[in-house]
Amino acid sequence: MRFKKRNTVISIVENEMLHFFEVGARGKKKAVESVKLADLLVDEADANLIPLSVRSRINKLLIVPDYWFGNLVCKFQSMKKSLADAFVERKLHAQYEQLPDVKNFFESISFQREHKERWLYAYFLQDPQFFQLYKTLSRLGLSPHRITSPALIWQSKIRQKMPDFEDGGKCFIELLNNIYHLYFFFEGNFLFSRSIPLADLPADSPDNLQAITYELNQSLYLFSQRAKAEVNNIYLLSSETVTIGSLSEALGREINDLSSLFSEPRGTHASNESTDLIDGYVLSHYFLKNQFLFVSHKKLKKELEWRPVQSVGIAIAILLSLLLGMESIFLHKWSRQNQVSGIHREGVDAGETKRKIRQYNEALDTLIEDAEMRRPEDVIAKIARSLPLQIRMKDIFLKIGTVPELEFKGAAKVLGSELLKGSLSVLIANLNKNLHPRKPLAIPDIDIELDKNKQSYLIKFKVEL
Amino acid sequence: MAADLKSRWIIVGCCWMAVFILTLWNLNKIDSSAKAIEKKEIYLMDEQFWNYNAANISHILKKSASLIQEVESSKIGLFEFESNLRNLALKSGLDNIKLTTQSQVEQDGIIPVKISFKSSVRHAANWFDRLGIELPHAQVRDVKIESDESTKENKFAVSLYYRYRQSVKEGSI
Repeated sequence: MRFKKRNTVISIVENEMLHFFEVGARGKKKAVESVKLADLLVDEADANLIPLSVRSRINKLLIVPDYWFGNLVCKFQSMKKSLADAFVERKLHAQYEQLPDVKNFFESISFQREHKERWLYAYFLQDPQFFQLYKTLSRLGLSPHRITSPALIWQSKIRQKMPDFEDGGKCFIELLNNIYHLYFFFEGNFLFSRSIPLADLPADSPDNLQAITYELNQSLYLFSQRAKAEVNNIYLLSSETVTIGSLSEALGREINDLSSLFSEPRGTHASNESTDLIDGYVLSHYFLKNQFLFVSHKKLKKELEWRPVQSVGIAIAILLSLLLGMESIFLHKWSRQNQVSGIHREGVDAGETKRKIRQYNEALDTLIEDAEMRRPEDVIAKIARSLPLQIRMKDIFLKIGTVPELEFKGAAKVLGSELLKGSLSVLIANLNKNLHPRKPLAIPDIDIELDKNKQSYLIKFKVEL
Repeated sequence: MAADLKSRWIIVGCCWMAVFILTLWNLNKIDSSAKAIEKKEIYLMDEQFWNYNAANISHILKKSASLIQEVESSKIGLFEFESNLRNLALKSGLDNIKLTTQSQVEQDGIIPVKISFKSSVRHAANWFDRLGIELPHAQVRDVKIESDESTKENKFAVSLYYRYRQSVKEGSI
């Protein structure tokens, strides 16, 4: 699995220098450039100090000396991270008034001790050099995403390999480049570290053994002062030439050899050949697992926390966009085919057919309307058929339209009202039968007047047909 | 730092906006395609109907067209109509034929015409019948009949609509 990212670098503060490394597969690191730390610890540090090859890259990790970190352990009952952070922030503010930025660079871990007591372990950057360096790197566009130290990386590494790491105090010894590195942990949390350079003699020479024994005892005393507990076990993490027996004998305590547990091959250096604290396996651990304690600027941390969500969001959206894009292309072609094939393949214009159908519908409506109209000859004939012998037609007004109407005036030559009534009844019955008026005609609808001159009755009515 | 976080959120938002827009576009396209298919089906059904009923449709269109006379000029059409109306009345044995045209109340494609005559009911009925067949573009609006008992004559006053459609714009006439 290759994790090499050519646009990223890691930076390491070591021996008053800031080294920039490119990290390849299996944690192999390739030195890119180095800058004097002192040059960067001034406000007006020039951008030209940063090598060209590094300038446009992302500074993924800054590894600083252990002593740049501080830590505190205190009782804290709540398990809420926000409360713990606010508490640590207040404490740091009170303790480091002269370093206002310290509140941006800390992390806290809640853990349980005996009697189910909840405690808080906080680690933070406390060295003014760091804040100056961070400021300069940020100004030059190289603000590190994560900041850690060798001891913090070791802490994660040891925790994985040693099940009883969190029980009591532990000391880990590493010999590199004729320097003894001592790491002290209490209940799984880093307390402090020390580096003890040896004289230019074999590591197990009596002088060197005496020196390391003295320094180790001093450190064990310091540990007991800080942790209010003793170191239970001492472990040798890596041995070069030192014989564990002679060191154990000189110290008067048993030393356990853990070097086999951490036997990953050392980093192969392409340049700057040196064996240092940040060697290959530590880096490979970083790149493969990304599981070690680190501190990020609070704002950057938020950004890094959200980054996977954003990346997944972008990836899913792009994937969906691609799928939907393909669907769009398909739909576009499909809809065009539908629209084109239906009309042009037949060689007939849909508009023409529509027009023809509309004409047909209009024609049908006109014919139906015309057919529904009363025909005058029919109405006249039906009126004539409906008249009894005693009644003659005088005037007729027939209106033909949407509401056809008939106004009838006639004369009835009958003697007596009974006969008149009889004649009218016949007329009404015949008209209702033949003409089917909207409202059937009845005797009260007929206006009757006596024509004395002609001795007849004038009858008049109006009916809707 | 915060700006980078913000810009990444903007990118995420833009990506999802693109997804949203594409979804809407696709839905719209599906909708329009469905409508196009429906339209096509209706069109095909219309076509089928047209093909199966071509003879009937043609007959109906012809019959409907006969209700409105296609003329080049409304005035020429009216003269022709009046002449035909008069001839038909004469042929039907009607007397005292009088024609009045109310061209001043001309509506769109309609000119009211009045005809009065004296006739028996039978002759008049015959005239009405022939009018419907020979001059279908004449639409009877109302009929007034006055019967004189002494002379046994019937006076008819018929209001008609002359229905026409001008095929070419009226020129100088």
